[in-house]
Amino acid sequence: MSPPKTSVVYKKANGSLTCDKRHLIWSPSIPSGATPSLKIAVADITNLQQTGEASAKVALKVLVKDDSYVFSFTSKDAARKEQVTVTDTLRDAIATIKAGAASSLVPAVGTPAAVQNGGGDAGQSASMAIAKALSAKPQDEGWYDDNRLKSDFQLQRSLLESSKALDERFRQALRDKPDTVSVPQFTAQFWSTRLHLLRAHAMEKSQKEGEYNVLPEIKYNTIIGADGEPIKTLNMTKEQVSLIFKQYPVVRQAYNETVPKPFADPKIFWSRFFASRLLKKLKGLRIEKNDPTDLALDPYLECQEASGPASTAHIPHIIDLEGNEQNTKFHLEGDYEMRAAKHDRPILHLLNQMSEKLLSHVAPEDGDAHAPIGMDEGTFEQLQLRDLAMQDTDNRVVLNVREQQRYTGTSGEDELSADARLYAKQDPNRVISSLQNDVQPRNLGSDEQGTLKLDRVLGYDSDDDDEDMDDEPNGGHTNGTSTRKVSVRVGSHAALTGASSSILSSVSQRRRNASSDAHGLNGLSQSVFDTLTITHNTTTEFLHYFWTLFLSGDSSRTSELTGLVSTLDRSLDRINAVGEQAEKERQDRLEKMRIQVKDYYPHMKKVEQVNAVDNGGQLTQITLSGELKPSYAANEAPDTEIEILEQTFDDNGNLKPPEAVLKVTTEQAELSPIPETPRKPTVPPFRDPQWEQTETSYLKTALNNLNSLTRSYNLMAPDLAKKPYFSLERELRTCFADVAPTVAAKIRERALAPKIKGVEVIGHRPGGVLDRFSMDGPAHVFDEVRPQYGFRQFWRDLFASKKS
Amino acid sequence: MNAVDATDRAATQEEVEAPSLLTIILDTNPHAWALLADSLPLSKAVANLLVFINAHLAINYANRVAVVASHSERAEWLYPTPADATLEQAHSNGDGENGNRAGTGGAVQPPDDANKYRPFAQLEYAFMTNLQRLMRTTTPAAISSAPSTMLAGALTRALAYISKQSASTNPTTTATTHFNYSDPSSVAGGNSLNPSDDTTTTSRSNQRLTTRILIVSVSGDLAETYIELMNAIFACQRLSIPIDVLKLAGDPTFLQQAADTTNGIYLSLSTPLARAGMLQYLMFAFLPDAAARERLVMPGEGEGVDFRAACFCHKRVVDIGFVCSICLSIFCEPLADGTCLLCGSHLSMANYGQKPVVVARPKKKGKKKRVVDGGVETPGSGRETPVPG
Repeated sequence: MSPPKTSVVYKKANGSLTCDKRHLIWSPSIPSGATPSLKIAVADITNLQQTGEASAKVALKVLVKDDSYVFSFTSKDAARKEQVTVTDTLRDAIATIKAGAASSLVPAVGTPAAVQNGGGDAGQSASMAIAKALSAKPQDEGWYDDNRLKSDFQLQRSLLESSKALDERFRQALRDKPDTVSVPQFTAQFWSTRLHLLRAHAMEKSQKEGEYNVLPEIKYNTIIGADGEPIKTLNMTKEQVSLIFKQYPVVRQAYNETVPKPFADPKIFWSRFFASRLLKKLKGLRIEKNDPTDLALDPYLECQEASGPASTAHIPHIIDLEGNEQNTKFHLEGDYEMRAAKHDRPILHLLNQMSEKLLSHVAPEDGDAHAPIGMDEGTFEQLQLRDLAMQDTDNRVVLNVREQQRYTGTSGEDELSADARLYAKQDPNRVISSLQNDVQPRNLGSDEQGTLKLDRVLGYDSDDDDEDMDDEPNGGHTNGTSTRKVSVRVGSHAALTGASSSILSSVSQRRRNASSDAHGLNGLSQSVFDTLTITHNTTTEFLHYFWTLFLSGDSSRTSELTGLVSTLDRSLDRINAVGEQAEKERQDRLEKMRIQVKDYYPHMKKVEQVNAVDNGGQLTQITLSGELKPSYAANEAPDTEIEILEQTFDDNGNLKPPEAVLKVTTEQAELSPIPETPRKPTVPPFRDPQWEQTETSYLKTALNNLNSLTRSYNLMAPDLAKKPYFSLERELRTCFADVAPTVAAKIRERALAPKIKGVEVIGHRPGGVLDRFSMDGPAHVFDEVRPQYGFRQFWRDLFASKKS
Repeated sequence: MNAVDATDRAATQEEVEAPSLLTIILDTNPHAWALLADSLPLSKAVANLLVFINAHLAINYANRVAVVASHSERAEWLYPTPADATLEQAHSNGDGENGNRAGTGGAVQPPDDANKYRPFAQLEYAFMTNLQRLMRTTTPAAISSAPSTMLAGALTRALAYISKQSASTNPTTTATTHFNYSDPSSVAGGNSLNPSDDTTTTSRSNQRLTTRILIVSVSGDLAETYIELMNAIFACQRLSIPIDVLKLAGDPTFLQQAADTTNGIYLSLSTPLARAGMLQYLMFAFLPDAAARERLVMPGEGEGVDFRAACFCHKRVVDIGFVCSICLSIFCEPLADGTCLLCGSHLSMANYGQKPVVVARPKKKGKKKRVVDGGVETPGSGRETPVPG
């Protein structure tokens, strides 16, 4: 586009206005071809103003900082058109100068906001963008300005893209926002509470990668060529070249001096360079004798500059290593090993230089960002150096609340807390005397000698299992007078148990809290949990918005406020809806579990058999069978039914068919009273008291062990999974009951079985060798003093005749 | 070689459990104990406490204990007996002891009983005599003028004692527990909130004496000494000394914060039944020392910590207040002259206090009304941000 040229009047002088990308130039028409008398840099323009569309006069006012220039367009028929052209060009120029201004017109592409902004907002936002771009501070200061952050749509969009949660929240809130609130209003509000995020994001984006040591990064690629010969290729990017020049000034020097003349093509220079000794030197490699020499490049080996860092200007004074110069430069002569010449270039030395070079381009860490606060530079440096000694006195600023009496003195009686008011009712004299009495040693179980018998005062008696003892004080033991009246004695069993259980419950609660991680859904499904989070987020968002609006005291925004109130109302509905959804889900899951239980249990027909011996000495088996079903709500028909059938054994030991089946249902709560028959003495059941006696202690221990295991399991287990404890008596009874039906059969079997002759004795004859090991004969006790009882004696004893 | 002649004892020496110093702050506010007399008289509480102390001493022979009484108008050492009190005791020994004996028929003697572990007896004796003396010297005027307790003073005393003890135990490592000047983060960040911060971990690993503080509190109303109290709490946090709190009565505001900040245990016994089980609470919850606690799930109310602060001007406990943006001091109402009481910075209240303007619409009336009432007091969370548009 050719720079538009228009005829305008400026300061009552005719002239023409030209506009290129950078400048707005007004040159007077008389004399023609005069040098431009007014040149305004586009970058300096702070605002543009134009006369209204309808007005006859067409003028453009350009505001540059404090000055303003008014150009009146004089062209007869095309004044307006010319003005528009100039203005548009100017806008374009400004937009291109301030990067991204044009694309920032559309906030958050992909959100509904973008759709809305296409049409109506365009006109407004164009001028807005210009104004913003113009008012913007230099780029690096950008994140300090709240307004700039709020209006930087591109930044916001990129933040939304980087943070999914925030994006979702933004979209959701935008969807639910009241209609009375326009999109720009909403977005402004949304971001005004998240300025810190924007700022952090802006800072994050403005970070750029630092320099790296470029030479080692460039490597040969070996490709097998068409003729089968490996071809070494070298790929370098433009950036790498410039980095090399920056980091190694000597290379730049060499390049400058050699490229036009000895080497026609830079390519030749680079290929030579990468094969040269210079490269090896720069990389810190040892130069071998048989390295190829290069007449053009080798002179640079001697160049002193090759070793120095490119610039040392930025090295902060604190880490100035000038004092250690003699150590780093290897001036030490004499020792063979220490002579610098012997080491072509000590590698460490080179590495250090390399890092120095890298660091020299980096802004110093202790630069402006960490400038000393509240003291001048000298003090700060002094302090920093002195920090090395840890013994410095603490230089604290003592802060005191001033004029506090003015405030605290006025506090009236009504400011007293509930405790203080209770205290005020007490008589100080009586309080003190009662306390003085209370702390007398006799209340602490002091005996005649003055030793405190704390155990008596505590009243804790570990053997005291009687719960009812707790309420009465251990009269003789405690001398305490006040405890008599108390219903709960201090240290009573009930109190201690209560304490344990409360501590344990708080421990388990803590544990639950500690174990449930952030991803825990608290028993909700993922979808419900997500909905819940989103609902919570948006509600909070609107509450924020509401309070900001409400407290702004801006009467012009009341319509927005009413819209928000209705939105908040709807938020409440949404919250309830989420609750209902969660509840429904829970019910569904419960129902599913019920069905599972139902499916599972019919297979488990519970049969319980109890054997008893009836009056006539008949062995009877009572079978209880029924279906266990989970109890439903009360309105469902109780279909629990338990059959009881009593069968007697006939003489052959077989079960007779049942005579009667007694059915017990839950409805039939009471059985008809069974006619009482005088009870005949029953046959004593088969029991082995001696066995019981010998086994009791073992059984008790085993059972206790089992119970303690169960107890420790129950402590951790949820209520559903807790297990019952065992009692010895009950277990034994079930054992007997289990065994009882087999007893008769066993007895019969033993009676009928052929007699077994017992264990066969293997060829043992009385008086044999093995007999001697038995303890039948008189025992010999040997005094082992003199002739020691050895194997020989033993052998003799064994085989000698009894008389000896 | 060492292993052969069994001389490598150095290694096993290291594994001996570090001694632990338990500093107990007993709130002896007479008013509060008089109110509690029905459910838990002071003597009973002291007996329970003594059993607990004995248990602590019995765990490790090197364990130490210190007890400070936070009385209504002063903080006093109960154990170990301070030097001046020992002198005074020596003077008044004769009639004081006799008087006690006559009055009670069995005063606490300097203990000489073969049936009691000597440290227990000594501690009990010193504790009881000091407590009695404390009660004897309390005047009615003193307790009627001061309704609360000198907890901040007691905490400071306890802290001073702890630092003295740990300095004498391991003089070489005390430097690490001091303020670290060369550490830039300690300059910038003030106290480190992160318990796994490297300064605290090094101090812990070096610090042989593990210390903790147990506050047995019966009274509230600590707002008067809010600043001092919080300073002491933050000092504890820096030194990684947990503050355990056993609250028998009173309002929990700041002590709960203390336990929460310092990773201590907070237990509140509000019912008579719970108070009756005080011993169990003590033994169960508060006996493990810092080393053991690392491996245990500790009891205590983890949720619902009352984080309210007291304002610097009226000492009121406030939910929502005004904070100086320079020095972060808290005020309950906007300052009259706009100057911070602490740092003297000039503060202004952007557009606070403007009357909310709401066009009254009949259907929203009820809701609005309520909101207006709450709104005048409460600055919204989005308060500071400039209103858009």
